[in-house]
Amino acid sequence: MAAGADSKYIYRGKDVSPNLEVKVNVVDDAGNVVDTYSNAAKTVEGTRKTITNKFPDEALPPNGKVVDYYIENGKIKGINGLNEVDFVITKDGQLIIGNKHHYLGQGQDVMAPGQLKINGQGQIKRIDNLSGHYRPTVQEAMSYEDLFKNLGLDTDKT
Amino acid sequence: MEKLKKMSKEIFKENLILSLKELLKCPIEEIMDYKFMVISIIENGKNYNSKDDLMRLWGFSEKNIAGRTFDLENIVKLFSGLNPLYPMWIEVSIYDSNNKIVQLRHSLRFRKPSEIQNVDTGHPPFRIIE
Repeated sequence: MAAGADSKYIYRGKDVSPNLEVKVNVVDDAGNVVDTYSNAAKTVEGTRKTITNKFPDEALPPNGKVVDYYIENGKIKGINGLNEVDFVITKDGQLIIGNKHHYLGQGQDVMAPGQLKINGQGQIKRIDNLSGHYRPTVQEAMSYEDLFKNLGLDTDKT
Repeated sequence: MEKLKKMSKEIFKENLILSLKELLKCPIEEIMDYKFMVISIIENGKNYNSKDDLMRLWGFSEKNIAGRTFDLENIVKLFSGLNPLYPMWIEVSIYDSNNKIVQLRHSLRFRKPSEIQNVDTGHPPFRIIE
């Protein structure tokens, strides 16, 4: 399958699409840039605080699972009819979907953890901040929609 | 096996009271004097999802429940954090009759009404352990 101009391909949690750049400044509570992530070409840019894993020392769950997908015309495709998944957006701007946040984030801090409800066409219908390991605040979750838009996902019906 | 069609905070409370009536065999006024201690059970080989994690790590964390007792209203609130998802099963037993403490051993798998067990007791998800 060839990647179209509006498509992204995620394999084992890594974006393998051609010509995609992710550039994110990670800041601390005082607003100081503590890290910057970037790769190349189409830019996803922003300044975000990370959301800490409150239980980083827990063992990774044995039933954790990453689901491969691709993004086409703002929709999540290739997930075989899954309609509710966990997600994290990592510090380098990758959306990883599957099962169990602690596993998806590999115990690390992330930009956004939560759950997605997706309809049969791959349209995101709901984004929430439900995660026991990260427990994002409502304020932290306010930035989620922008993060998803930056990834090329359609959130207009979310 | 009969499946439960509906669960809510109100039904959960009603079913808890029904199970206490069966266990304690005393008037409702006396039941209201009882306190509850909670023991969360991790079942080997069972699958836990992110919602279960949320309840395990926060509502039912050791810090939140160990050595504590709750009154009826607060125990209902504690279990209703993911309403209408509730523990698949809860075992009810007397822990200390002199001090009026009931023990609730519960599954950490919070599921939709159709997956809740102990429907045959008439007060799911509760089951009396005498």
